[in-house]
Amino acid sequence: MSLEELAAQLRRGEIEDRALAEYAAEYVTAGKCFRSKKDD
Amino acid sequence: MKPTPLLLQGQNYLFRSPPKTLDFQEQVHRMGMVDEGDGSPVPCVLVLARSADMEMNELSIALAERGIRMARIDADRCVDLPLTVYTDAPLVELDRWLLRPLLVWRRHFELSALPVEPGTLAGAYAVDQWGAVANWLATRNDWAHVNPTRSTAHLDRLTQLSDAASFGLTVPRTTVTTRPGRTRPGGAHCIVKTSGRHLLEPRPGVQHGLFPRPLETSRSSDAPESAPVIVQQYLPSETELRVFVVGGRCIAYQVDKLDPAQLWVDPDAVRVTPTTVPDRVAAKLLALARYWRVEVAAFDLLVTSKDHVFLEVNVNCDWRWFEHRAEDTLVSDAVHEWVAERFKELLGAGKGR
Repeated sequence: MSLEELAAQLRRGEIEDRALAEYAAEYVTAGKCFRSKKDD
Repeated sequence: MKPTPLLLQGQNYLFRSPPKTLDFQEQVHRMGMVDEGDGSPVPCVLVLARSADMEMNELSIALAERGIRMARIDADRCVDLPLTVYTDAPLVELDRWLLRPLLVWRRHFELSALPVEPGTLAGAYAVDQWGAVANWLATRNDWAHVNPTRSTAHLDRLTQLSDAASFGLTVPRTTVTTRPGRTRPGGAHCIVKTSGRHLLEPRPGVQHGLFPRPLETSRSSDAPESAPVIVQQYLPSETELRVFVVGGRCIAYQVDKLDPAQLWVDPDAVRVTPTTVPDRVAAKLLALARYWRVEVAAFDLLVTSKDHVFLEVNVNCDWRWFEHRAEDTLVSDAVHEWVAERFKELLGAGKGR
């Protein structure tokens, strides 16, 4: 599959691959966690 | 017993950044989900950062959407990384991928994040080697760079102030001292701030905040601090601005808060709203950005009744914190577009061959 297709799947939340879906879930969790992190 | 340094007193901000892979492109390539090509070097954007750099994690997805390869070397995950960098050709072999970086962006690749045993020879060795190689990667002449380290490495807060003043911006009166109790530039009310980084990482993955704070007016101790700090004139202001400069464009947010530390300790109480800056101020900021050769940076300004006052510029700036509160993606969109355009420009100029 191409990078573009995989990224589009991620953006649409329509990931078919289980391992990638797990990554996507972790990414969302990390995004929420790091929302409060203020760096520079 | 020596007293705790002023800037470490009452600083309760602590953030743990685990070394976890959050980079989309790294993930899909590792899992073998992407067409591998014919084995020729793949032109890419190379980012030196750390795992929890969410701005770069978003960039990875945005570039993937545009079909642009991004590769990553993170300070907190680089120990034992399979890496060969060729010196006679602008190529990198990262894990099993042969890459040709066209554009390199180093930000938040802090050596303090390297997961090594502190106080050991092996740890010092890994830190020293990675430090030297990261510096070289970030300055190689045969690659283009975002915010080139050659220009920004010496852009400390004091240099920023004198440069900003020379470009006609108002700056607060400032002193650097180990005796903050005896120093009051510009009047009785002053702010103390770090002359170094806003986050300290005494152990890999554990970051402590160092926030600006009011200098207590009662403080008159003559005992020198262990290290110099910045003592700056306090200027009453109507509001504060954070102005992102992205490739020659200004994107501004108004930041309303009760005290300087609120950004870190009580972020939900900070109000962030999109705004604009007067043309004459924007022109000075853009001129400074050009002078410093930075393409992506964040300026902090105070808005007083008379003027816009330059406080500092952050080259390794975070924009998602501001976007989240303003409920927009203006800076992310601008950064992604600028990086993609710059990459295409370099590719078109034959740098990818």
